[in-house]
Amino acid sequence: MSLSTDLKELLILKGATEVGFANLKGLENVPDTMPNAVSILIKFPAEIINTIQEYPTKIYIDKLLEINDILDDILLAGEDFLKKKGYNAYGQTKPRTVVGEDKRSKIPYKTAATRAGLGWIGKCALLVTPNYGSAVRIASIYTDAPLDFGKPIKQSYCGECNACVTDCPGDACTGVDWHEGIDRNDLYNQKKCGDKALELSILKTGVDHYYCGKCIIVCPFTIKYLKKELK
Amino acid sequence: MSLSTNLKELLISKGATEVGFANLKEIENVPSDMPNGISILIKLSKEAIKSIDVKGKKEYLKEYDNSYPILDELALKGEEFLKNKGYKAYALTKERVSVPDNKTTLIPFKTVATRSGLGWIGKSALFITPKYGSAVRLITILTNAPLDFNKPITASLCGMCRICQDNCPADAITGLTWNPKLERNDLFEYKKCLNVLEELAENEFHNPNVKVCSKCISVCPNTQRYTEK
Repeated sequence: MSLSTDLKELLILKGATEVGFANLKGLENVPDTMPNAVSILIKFPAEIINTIQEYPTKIYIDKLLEINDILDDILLAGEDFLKKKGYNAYGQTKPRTVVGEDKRSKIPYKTAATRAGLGWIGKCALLVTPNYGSAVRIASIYTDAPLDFGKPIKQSYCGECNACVTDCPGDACTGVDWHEGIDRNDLYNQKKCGDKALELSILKTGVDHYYCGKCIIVCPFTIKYLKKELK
Repeated sequence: MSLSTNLKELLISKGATEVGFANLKEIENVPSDMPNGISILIKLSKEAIKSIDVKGKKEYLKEYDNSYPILDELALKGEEFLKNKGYKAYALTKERVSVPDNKTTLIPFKTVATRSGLGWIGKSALFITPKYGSAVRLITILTNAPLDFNKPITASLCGMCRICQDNCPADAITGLTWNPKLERNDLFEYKKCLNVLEELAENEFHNPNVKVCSKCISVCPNTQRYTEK
């Protein structure tokens, strides 16, 4: 069995839903010593996403934070596995990530995910996957290990759909279609999104986080996933 | 006293349980010369609801059938009241509304009721009120009269409850939580429901015209809070 298969099996055993491998060489901020990425995805439980049809809920935010912690554990397990095989590896856990004022990280998880072939970027700048819509959480490990790269997704499959743009309570999405290389700020206004999300989080759940979830719940790919999963 | 209060008092005195007023301007198929809606609700009796779980559903069927003329009469009374005041009004009585095979009417009473603030739509696609659960029947009047609109209800209060889904003998409920943008088909597959209704017509009622199940009404915790009180 190959390194990639072994690693994937380990990560799925630890709770990952999907795992993909990407070549990030040439992208901004990617170190020459670790040009590859492992993109790890966990699906959001359908019954929890189903509670945010109107507004964010406490149970949704609690689950989101719980999944963040699980992702961190999975990243460290993957990093450990690769290091033991003699490679450089760095799990981009939450505590290790510096997020700028505008919530951008140096190497976005979403870029690694599209490069790994796990999904594309929707009109509200979310990762959209064919199987789970936007009801996912993701994170990355950087490494120099030789991995079986997935086929990068370079364009959006949103088509004419504008559900997330129309329904955004913060009026933050421009409606521009994503393609590889486009700047996030061309798709949406983080300030507008963040201000509204904070307001809704506090108002509806009493928790001061920046989680709204509207663009997740209205996405037809998410709805398809919920219908399948809630059965 | 305002027009809305007078109308509401009249309808309640004639037997309505609750009355709400809605601005329907944005709603599909609503005529532009009568963009306002009056939602009239009557509750079903506790005894009738309890008989849903008894073979034959005798009390329930009787009250269900009786509710049509009661609702029609209420709506026509309201229409008359508004016309006498000089407004346009049109009661959506049973004989005036055509119901296609898929049972989706042009202007659903349930939509008018949520817009009137009377309740929300459950996972079962049934209308649910905090006080009576789904043990209610509805009718609508359209009008151009200026009414004191209620605040529309846009969020489901079902939470993570899936009792109707788990108890549906037709497996017709998808489990998706309602929001006003979802289609009825997103919540519930009518064809699956109909299969069971036809089975019941044959085996429980021995009458092809009696297609009644209503399990989703009787098992709803909101309904049970009402019937057990």
